[in-house]
Amino acid sequence: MNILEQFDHIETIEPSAQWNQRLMQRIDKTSQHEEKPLGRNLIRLAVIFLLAFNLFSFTKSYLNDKALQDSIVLKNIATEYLITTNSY
Amino acid sequence: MMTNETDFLIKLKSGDKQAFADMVTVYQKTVINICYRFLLNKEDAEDVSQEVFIEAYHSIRDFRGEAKLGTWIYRIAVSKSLDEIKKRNRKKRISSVGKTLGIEFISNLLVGSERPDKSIEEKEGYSMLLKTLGKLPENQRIALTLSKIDDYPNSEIAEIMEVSLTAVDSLIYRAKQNLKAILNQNPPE
Repeated sequence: MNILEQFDHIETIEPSAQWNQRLMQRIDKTSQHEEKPLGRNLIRLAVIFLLAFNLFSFTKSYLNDKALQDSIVLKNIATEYLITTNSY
Repeated sequence: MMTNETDFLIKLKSGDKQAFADMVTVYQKTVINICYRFLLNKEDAEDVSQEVFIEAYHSIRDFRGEAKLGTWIYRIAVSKSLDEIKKRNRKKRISSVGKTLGIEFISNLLVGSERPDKSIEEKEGYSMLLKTLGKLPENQRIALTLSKIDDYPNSEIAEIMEVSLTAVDSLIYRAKQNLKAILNQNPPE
């Protein structure tokens, strides 16, 4: 039997006895997921807030460190050139 | 049951469970058989046909009624079946990489167990059929597959594929010619 003939002879199938029941269970499951958008949105908001807070803390501490280091460098330069705060 | 499609659609869109159950009763057999013709595996066809109705249930509010309800559902069935075929192909690719790397359990995990209800000859036959059909361009495959469903007129296929009737005739003709050419190049052992 060639491929085309084989294609012609594929039997027609009937849904199994549990097909309808399983379909309704799956629909109920997906509907329950859809009915809880508030909870999911709250989780999303919390995650976004945490990420933003972390980013803010990281940036703040990075800028502080940088300012501190700049100040140390300036102090070192001042010491090297014997400029004291009392010079003026 | 479905005396007036407009009234029926209103019920469906308002979430009437009985209307949905009626819709399932009317279209279930054709949907399962469309999926089966594409997937050639009863379990997969049942699973994908359920996904078709789940999608229909959730997106019925977006159905504008430009096509017949049946045509819309069959379109979802074709699209879901093709998605499943693509998913299978992806799994096969990952599985073959797993085999190449010697990680057999990955391929077993992804491809799953063989169907126990089919004879080896039938399984091999279907796999050859699937392989050959997979070589056809997608639109030719869709047209040919739908044309093989019992009593399914080409005018319906044209509506599902959103092409003209002449285009469907031409796609089916070219699909058959291509299949013959593929089989001549690689005759089944």
